[in-house]
Amino acid sequence: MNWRLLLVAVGVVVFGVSLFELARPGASPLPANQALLPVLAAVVLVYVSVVLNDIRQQPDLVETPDVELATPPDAPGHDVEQTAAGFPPVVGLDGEERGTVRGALRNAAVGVLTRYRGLDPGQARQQVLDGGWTDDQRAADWLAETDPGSSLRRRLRRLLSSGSRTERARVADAVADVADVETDPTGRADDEPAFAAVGDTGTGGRLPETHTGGQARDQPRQTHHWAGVSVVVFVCLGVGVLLEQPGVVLAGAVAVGYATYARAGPLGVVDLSISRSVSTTSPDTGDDVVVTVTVTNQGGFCPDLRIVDGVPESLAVTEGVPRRAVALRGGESVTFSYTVRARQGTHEFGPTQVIARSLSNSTEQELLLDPETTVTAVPSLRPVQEPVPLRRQPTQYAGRAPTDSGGEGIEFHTIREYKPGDSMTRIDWNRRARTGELTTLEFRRERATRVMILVDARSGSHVGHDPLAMDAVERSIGAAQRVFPALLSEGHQVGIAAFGPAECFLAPDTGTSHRQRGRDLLATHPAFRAGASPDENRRIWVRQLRKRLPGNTQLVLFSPLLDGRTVRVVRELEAYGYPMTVLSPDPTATETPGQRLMRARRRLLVTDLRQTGVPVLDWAPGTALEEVLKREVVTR
Amino acid sequence: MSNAGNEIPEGVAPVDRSPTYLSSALALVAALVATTVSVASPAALVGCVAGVAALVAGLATGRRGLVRLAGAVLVGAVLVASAAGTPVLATLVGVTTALLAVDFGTTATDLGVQLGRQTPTARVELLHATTSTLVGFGFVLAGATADAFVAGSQPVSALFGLVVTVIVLVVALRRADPVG
Repeated sequence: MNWRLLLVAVGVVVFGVSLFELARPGASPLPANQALLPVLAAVVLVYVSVVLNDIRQQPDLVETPDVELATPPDAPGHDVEQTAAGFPPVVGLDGEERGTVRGALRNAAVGVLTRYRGLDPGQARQQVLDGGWTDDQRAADWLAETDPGSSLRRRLRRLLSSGSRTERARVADAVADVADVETDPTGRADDEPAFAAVGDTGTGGRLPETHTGGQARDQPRQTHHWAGVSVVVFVCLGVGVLLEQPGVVLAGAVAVGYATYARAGPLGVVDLSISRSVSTTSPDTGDDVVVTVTVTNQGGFCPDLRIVDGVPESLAVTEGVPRRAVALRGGESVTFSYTVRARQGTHEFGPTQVIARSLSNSTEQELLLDPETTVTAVPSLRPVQEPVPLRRQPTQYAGRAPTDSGGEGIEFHTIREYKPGDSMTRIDWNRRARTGELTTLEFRRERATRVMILVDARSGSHVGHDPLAMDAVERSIGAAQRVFPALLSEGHQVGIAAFGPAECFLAPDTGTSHRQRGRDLLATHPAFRAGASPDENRRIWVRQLRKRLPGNTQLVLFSPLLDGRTVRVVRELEAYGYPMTVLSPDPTATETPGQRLMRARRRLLVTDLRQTGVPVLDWAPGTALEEVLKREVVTR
Repeated sequence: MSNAGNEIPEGVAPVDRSPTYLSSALALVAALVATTVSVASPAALVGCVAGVAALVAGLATGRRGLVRLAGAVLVGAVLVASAAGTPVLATLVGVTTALLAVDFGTTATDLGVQLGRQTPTARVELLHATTSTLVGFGFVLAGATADAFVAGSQPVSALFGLVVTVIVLVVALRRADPVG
């Protein structure tokens, strides 16, 4: 049964009868009893509670993403538990229960004590179990194995705090303290970073998979802008009748006007077209790109269009606002522009989000218009100004890298017995004059080397020390962009590959076109984008990488070195005869205990790797790449 | 880029999703008008001041619910003033401006949430505000006219019938489309 029609019919009939009653009082069957009015008012006021209940259950408004921002990288070390679990197991220790949080933290503490206090594993473990390793008594107590002592307070605390967040955080801080991790003055004691979580920074995720002609539209939905206006109607009528106040009853009639207006002028069919242009589609990194968007109304009058342009998630707006609110008549258009700062890589714009609202604000509809724009920023060629510290290793090609074998060159290497055929210029004539012996001078042979640049772009590496700065992968790629041409101009054959399961490989070569290929690959290859790297079995991808690597090649790995697995792969490749050098951008922060523990863990991993003979260039944020390379050359 | 280190993109700040200035100001003006027409009754005046305070708090914090609550308090205060004997026209204007305060206030919060304060939104805000005001004052005029013409004592039965008519029609509206 159509209740609405029935109610309207009843309303019209009662209205007619009332008018008749006004003209001829007493002629209609309407009750004239004064006592009925309070009853009517009471019924009306009871109905108010029903309406109020409806109002409370409101759907949310259409949300808009923070398109102005580039997706901020997370700082590594989300929580203490996971970070502790990733500490490398201490060699020479048995029976350490690393499966539990306490066990993992004990292992971490023993790990830092052996490296930073020079204790042997047994001593370190004993200190941890005795509780004498840190000044923080609560942390020490929580980690200690033995009876916490006779003090009732300490016992109670241990009982109550078993596994509590505070205790873990304190232990994490104590471990970080042993590893000399500096405390952040703005740091926090819990695992909640101060930077408010940024939601979506692009509109791409809003576009459904099936859409036609780059357009998608959602169903119109209620905004509940006028929610409560019928409550005002009922309250005015109820109160007005009760108090016999004509003004209040009439005010109810005004509210009826708004209740009607809320339903009037429904959202028509919104028909929009869009065009987007950029000042350049291939800027240099760091360039400003002006984006101009024009939205044209091809349908009827749209009183309220809220437009949010789909700025790529990877780019931040530096000037202007990528949003507008406009009213457009049929055929009218609006144009607005804003500026984004180009970062290295390929950046796809998302669809433009439009929220169309009715004149009364009571309905809204979301539309997505996708004009498909792409900007690709490739950095200009800027080789690093310092020599790249490679490992010594021979190949057949002449070049500038010193090797450990003797031959022709400049730097003295060894003296050997003369062999017929040796060049006259290399005979040691001084010795010949002194002793009559015929010997040949050997110089350090200078040869070109074959180098593969490996960039760690696995999903775990897309982390950074600062939400507004570059993540570790971006820094790695930026550095690789500068090391690659530098190595080429030193005469080496250089190739590029992704360190991880993603498919990306450029075989070592030389030449101008190779230089260009490498530059483009680093800038635009999808393997280096966030979220591009699939999670795959480590053994499989390491085997595949090894299969493709030519022999006699040395590897320069760009990796934040955050976990033991990465270190194991480095050692494995080194063991297979690929001399490795690691340039490691430090992405760790010190805001929360988990982050501080992560910094301690990374330091431990770097130390461990250096001890196996692999040079690790630790690259702190804010340090120029040249400085890091220079420091390495000086310390060698 | 000077180096491949930590370059912080300039001018990056999260979107300020606070209510827009223009509609917030209009909401305050509407609330003050509702207060002005209720000055005759001290109790109503206290209510109105509380309503304005709630509105300011709602607009400062961007909370839609608080803006609505402010509107409810204002309507209540206007009804109290009416019971205390303010003229019919003052009651009509008071209720209308209280409703407008909520309308402008929620327009400000919604625009803030969806577009943010930095976005140029004045044209749309003015369009909404003008339409809502015209609609409201159209009905105020109609109400005042009805009051002038239908002055004097009317039969209880007819009043009863008219009230029932309004209730039935509003319930019918809500069944079709519970937007208000």
